[in-house]
Amino acid sequence: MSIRAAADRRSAPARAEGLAVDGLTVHYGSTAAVRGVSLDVAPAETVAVIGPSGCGKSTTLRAVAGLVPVSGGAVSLAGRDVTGWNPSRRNIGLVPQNYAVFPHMSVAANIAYGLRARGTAAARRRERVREMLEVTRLTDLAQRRPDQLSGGQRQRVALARALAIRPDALLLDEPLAALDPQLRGGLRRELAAMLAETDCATLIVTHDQQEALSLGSRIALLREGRLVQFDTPRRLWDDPADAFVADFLAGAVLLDAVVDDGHALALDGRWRVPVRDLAVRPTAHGSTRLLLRHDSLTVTDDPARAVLEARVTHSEFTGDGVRLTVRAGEQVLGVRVPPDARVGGSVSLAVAPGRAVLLTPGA
Amino acid sequence: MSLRAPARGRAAAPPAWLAALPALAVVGLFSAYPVAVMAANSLGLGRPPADGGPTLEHYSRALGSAAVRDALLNSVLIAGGAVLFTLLVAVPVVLRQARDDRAGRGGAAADALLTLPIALPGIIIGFFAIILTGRTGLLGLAWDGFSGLAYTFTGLLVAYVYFCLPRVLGPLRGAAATLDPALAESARTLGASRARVFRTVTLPLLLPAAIETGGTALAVALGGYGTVATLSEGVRLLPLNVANELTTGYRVAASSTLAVVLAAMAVLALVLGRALARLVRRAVAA
Repeated sequence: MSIRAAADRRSAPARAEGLAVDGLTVHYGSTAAVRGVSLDVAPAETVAVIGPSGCGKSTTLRAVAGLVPVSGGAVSLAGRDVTGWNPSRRNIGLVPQNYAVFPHMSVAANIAYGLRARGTAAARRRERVREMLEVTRLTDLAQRRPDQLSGGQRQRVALARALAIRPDALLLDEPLAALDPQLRGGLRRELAAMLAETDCATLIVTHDQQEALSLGSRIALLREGRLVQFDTPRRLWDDPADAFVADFLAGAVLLDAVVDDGHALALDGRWRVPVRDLAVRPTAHGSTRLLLRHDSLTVTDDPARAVLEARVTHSEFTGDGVRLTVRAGEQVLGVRVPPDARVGGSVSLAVAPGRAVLLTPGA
Repeated sequence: MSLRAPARGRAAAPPAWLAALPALAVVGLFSAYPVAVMAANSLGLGRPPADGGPTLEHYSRALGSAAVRDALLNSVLIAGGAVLFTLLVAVPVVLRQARDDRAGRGGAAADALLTLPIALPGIIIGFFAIILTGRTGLLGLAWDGFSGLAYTFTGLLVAYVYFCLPRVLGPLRGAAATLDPALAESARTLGASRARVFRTVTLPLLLPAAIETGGTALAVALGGYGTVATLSEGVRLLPLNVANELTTGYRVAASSTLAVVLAAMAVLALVLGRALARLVRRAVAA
């Protein structure tokens, strides 16, 4: 039986509203770890919260779970305001970063823990454990001890344990960080498939861009405790709110630009790029900017093209090419060149036609 | 081409036992030899003028004496009771300390206060008890019931708890620090009350360490001499009898016999603690 089918027996209106975080503020002592973060997760939706370490993403998750006291704002779950509630009353499924599988209990006893705590009748409990073992493909391992399991299996135990109680929201803290990098790709797809089966609001905290882009139907990007942008992966990728978002999520560079006489002027007018060389797209974020990805620039020796002189500060062999880090004035840019390219201490850069994006408001 | 590392130089390495030799010599001289002599004395195998040959007479006489039996029982009750009570006090304290340590706000003053008694000789702890609950003690001024309590069974028990506290707190704190806080947090989000989390997660995981620590503390408490030497009036404990047999009349054989009994009890406590801890660890995991 799928998790969805099992969960459908609950009354629909009770879960209709998913998870909503409104103006959440959390202090550790006198420092604010989270400042006025608002986001919402619809039932059956997966939202990824991403940001560099110390941005407050884990604190946000812990506040939703009720594990840290909130100093401002509200958390509501399935239409109930649960701010200030005990974690045990919230009906939340938590999968901590190291999975926290109870080491002194079998796989089956781990999954049954929440049901026992709720006083579910024994027959109903066994049935539900059997369902969860099946969904997470752990049936053969039901009597195993956690120390006999692989990291991926422990993750599934933690997931099954969290889902067994039919939570209104599922919280995953860095679900793949504890696994070997070689296994992450496969387990990420596996996790995505299992999450697609659930109909509870899912919040995933991660520092990994790829994880966020592939698992989240929307992404909330946090920086220094504040929400920077909250949108779909594609919109974040195509129209980042600021240079930080562009850099963090896509490794791209976002430059302020002015359009003048068919040219885009960037870097205080030192760089003039013909608009016909650029892909022009609308932005929802106010000002005109030039979005450069790693393949947007080329090194050229044609003086006729609009060029930007830059100094090479670092070069890195990547197999299929060489990635140059260059500096033009104060601005650091990345350029990819073929592996056999001969590059000196300074280079002339031009945009690869159609590869750089000009974001214009109201275009 | 061979990938094997060259064997040259390996043959020159001295055997491992050579490095252990100095330590073995010290253990032999200061531990094994005295124990052997003590055991020999207790079995009538000492020097001929004093001892007449192998006999169990010293043991039967010791265990036949009501005074020795009383002291033995008191030793077990007071050391055992004190360790049990100390564990009850220590478990919440170390869990709190572990939480504070993780939050980075461990109080150095509280730590020092709790572990200070480990540096204090038993005699000093006995003095503390007299100053507070002796016949003219400070607490006796507040309530008459406290006056003279130090010399009673209860008073001795309290003094031994103070004696045991640092010996239990130290190791148990280490064990509590290794408990992953995410375990209790997960249990909470799954709907368990604080009491249930303690009963089903925290305690089962801490219990083996608590038992092992208790065994060690019991072994130390059984042999403690200073505290009871200061406070002995009515209640007598076994270490006192060992010393008395020597100081009053130099009865080496009788003293050795009691010393062997005492040592055996301490070793038994230690071994039982370890074995029981292993058993519980296995039972908890089953």
